[in-house]
Amino acid sequence: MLFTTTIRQIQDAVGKVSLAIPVKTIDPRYDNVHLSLEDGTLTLFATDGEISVTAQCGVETTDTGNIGIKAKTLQEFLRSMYDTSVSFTINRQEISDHGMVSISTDKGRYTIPCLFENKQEKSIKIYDITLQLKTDELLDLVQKTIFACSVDGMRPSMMGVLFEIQDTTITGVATDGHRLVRCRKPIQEQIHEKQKIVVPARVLSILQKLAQSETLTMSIDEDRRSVKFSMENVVLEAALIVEPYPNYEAVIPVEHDKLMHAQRTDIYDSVRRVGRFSSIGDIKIEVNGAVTKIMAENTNEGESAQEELPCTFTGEPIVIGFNAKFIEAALAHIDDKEIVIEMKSPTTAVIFKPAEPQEQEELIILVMPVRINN
Amino acid sequence: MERTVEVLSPSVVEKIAAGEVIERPASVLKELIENSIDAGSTKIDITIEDAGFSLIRIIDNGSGMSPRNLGKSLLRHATSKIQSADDLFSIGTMGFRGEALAAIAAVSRVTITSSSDNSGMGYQIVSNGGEAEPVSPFEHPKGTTIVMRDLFFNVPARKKFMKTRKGEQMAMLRMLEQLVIPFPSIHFTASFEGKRTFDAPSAETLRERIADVAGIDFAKGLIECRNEQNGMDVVVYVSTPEQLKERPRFQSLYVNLRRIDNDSVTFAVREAFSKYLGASYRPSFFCFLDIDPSRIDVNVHPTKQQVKFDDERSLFGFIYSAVKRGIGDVMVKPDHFSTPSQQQPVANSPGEKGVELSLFNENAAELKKQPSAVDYSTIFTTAQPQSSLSSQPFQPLQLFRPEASDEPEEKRVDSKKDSALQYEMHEQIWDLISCYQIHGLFILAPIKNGILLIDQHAAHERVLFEQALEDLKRGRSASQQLLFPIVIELTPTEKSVVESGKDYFAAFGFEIADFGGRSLSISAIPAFIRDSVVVETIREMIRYLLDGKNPESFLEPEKRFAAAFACGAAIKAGQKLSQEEMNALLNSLFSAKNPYTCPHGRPTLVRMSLDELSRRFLR
Repeated sequence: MLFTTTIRQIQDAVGKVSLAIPVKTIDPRYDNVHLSLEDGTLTLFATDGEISVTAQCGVETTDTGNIGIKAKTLQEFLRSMYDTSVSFTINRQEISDHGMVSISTDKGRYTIPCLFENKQEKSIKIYDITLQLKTDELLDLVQKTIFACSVDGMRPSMMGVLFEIQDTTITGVATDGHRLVRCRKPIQEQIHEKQKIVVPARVLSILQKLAQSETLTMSIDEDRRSVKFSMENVVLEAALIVEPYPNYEAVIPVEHDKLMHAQRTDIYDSVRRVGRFSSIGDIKIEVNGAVTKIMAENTNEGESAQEELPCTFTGEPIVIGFNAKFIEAALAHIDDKEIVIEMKSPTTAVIFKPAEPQEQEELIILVMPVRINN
Repeated sequence: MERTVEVLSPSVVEKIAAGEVIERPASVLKELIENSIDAGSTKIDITIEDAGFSLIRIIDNGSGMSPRNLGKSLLRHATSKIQSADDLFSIGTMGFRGEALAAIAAVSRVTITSSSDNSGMGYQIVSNGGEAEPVSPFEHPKGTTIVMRDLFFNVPARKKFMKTRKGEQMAMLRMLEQLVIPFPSIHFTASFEGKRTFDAPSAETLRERIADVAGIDFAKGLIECRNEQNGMDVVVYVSTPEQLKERPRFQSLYVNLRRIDNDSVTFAVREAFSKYLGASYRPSFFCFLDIDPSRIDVNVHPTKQQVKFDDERSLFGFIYSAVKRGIGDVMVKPDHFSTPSQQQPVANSPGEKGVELSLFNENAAELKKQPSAVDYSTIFTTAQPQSSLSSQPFQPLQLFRPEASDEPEEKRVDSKKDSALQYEMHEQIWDLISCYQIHGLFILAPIKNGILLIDQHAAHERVLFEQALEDLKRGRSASQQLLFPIVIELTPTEKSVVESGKDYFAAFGFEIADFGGRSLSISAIPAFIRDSVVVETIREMIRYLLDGKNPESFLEPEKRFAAAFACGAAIKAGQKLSQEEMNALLNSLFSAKNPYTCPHGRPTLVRMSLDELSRRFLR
């Protein structure tokens, strides 16, 4: 087996598929990037058993064959090289599935062991929903939701972003049980029957790194068990989280009698500063009239902080506690300068949203308060 | 003057005898339920009022009693279960001594109504402190209804030694949970103080019955081990390695369906487990041993909670090999050791471009065992999503506070020397020091004149204990409200522990409400603990409180609950800690009032000086 390409081309493809390889694995099959030569095309593939990335790389070859190479070794070599022409010659050892890859560049020759593999049979999967999406729109939706995904495995469905697709709208929802984000955007296609899928956060974080083309295709299989993102020369396929997503709509407060308008960056900076003075990371926000007080204290150390900010507020005065980090994260994911905070009581969910929503986009972030000992 | 020897009157003898069988309301309940089981009932309904002191009523649909048997049922040593002394070695029923009903009748007011046919007519006998009236006809469907009122009305001294009503109620619930497990075909219901507290519908398998008592998730994960040899047949349901705890929820042995206490069996199960997972863990188990009645003597104690085996050594080997083989079979299937959450959420994903992913999926569960495989914090490119607060098990709660310990009940470890150590540590911890975690148990920290070894669990327990006491003093700690309540499934006993200590749980930051059945919903949690440890924390707290092995100094409920909370919420053995977390723990520990012992008096740290190290290396 022989093929020739450039360092940059193959490094790009190896880098993309390696995103699917887990950081630590005890199964050597997951360590490998699989190379398949067929019809003059080199296809690279890597997986962790649940997520797979396939990429194609332009090569010059007349050969066919399938091998596996340890991804880390190949990637480290390619990273250390400058862009130049490179040839891969693969020879099989006698009476064995093992072989050696000889890599030749203008600088020298390098040898890496490999494993000869059989051509895998393609599994048949029917994708009955296909959406053409603008990459930047989808990535924006992912970026605004993924931060709220849960990272502990207690409720697996919360470890992903729920996508609801209906009519000409796609809605992303993420929650870790303490905060919740719902971001809604328009799409070009019309989906009549409401579709709900939960995409693991790890898949979306890989998508963020892979998606470079202007548009991408999102496909959902008929069993609603896997999703496929097809981009230029790269396909990311992954198993969906099949556990039911909690009924998030039921926890979004529909009534609120306290409304506060404020400058997003002012609150963000204050919360960051004041939060540092808390013993367990909680802050107290007191809104009364046109002034918001943000307070924190560490009673054990006798440390405390208080800042006052101007705001516009309607409703009865309220004192409410929060985990400062949740407020920081919520405010960091709203683009607008001015925000609206909707409150009802010190123990009900508080809604953060842009004061002037972007055209055809709806974003709300819920944060559950911390009941503070007074 | 010499006292004369007199033969006691029958009524005094009965009361003395009753004392052996009937210690408390739970003993009455046990004896009455066993009678109903022996009568071949398929439904047994229990009603308890005033923790059993005012009323215990059992209604069953068993074989019932004829007027002749009913008339004799309250007599001492009157039984239908054995005829001669030889029968003692072939007992196939729960009761046999003919003591229980007589003993109960001697210390309470008992009414038994029973019918042995389907005519709708039966007979009733009424007894008042052992004085029985003649049997009279009474309407009753087939089966028996026993109503016991005013327990110990004629022995008030005994009443004085009873625990609180809550304690007695809990004892009855625990007894009930243990008693019903080997009888899955019987439908048990129980109401305590007008509230339906227990409902175990008839089931087909032991596992289903265990699920009724211990919860579905717990029962699902049990490993079934079997063995059969020389007239002995055993089935052991033992917890999986993930369910292993230092304090197991259940360790129940049933010999011929009778709940028995026996250390050999417990030891055999632990030994079999330790082959795979080390001796520090104690598995939960349910062991059902079927043995030829002639090989055991159940007539050891009136409460029948102990039996003698003819060959205890072979029993040990028999149970040991059953469990070892059962676990061994599972150990070779790696899937069994991935957590349910890792197994369920994702579907298999066939590959793209001709590469069959399913080939890899068989090992996906094994792969997923490594939590670090999915480390979003290193993967996400977006703004830091997860606060450090929520990703850490604890926070550096306090800084240095150099007062001396005000807790004389706990032993101090070389206080003079260690007070200097406290200053020294404090100085160092202002900046991060390099700590090393050893076997997920201890933290090794260099100090100016040597090294410190810290027990991570004991240290964190101390920090949380002091914090919990402080929270109790202040009334309530900061509590993070949850969008979606966490539902926890408990046994009736466990649920009643939480309900009885609701105020304490609230003071620590838990907001807990009844969710119906055996479940509770948690709508707020202490602000500093992760969601993923909430359920385990509550379970640990319950286990701690049920264990009852508290130091005398914890007789005050505040300290008992604070210690339970500290024990439940503290980082566990085997939990990996980052540098920051280790430093935060040390920081908090050396800010505690008494950093040298855990709430139970175990040392939290061991110090080794450079001199000592040098001596060991013969320098």
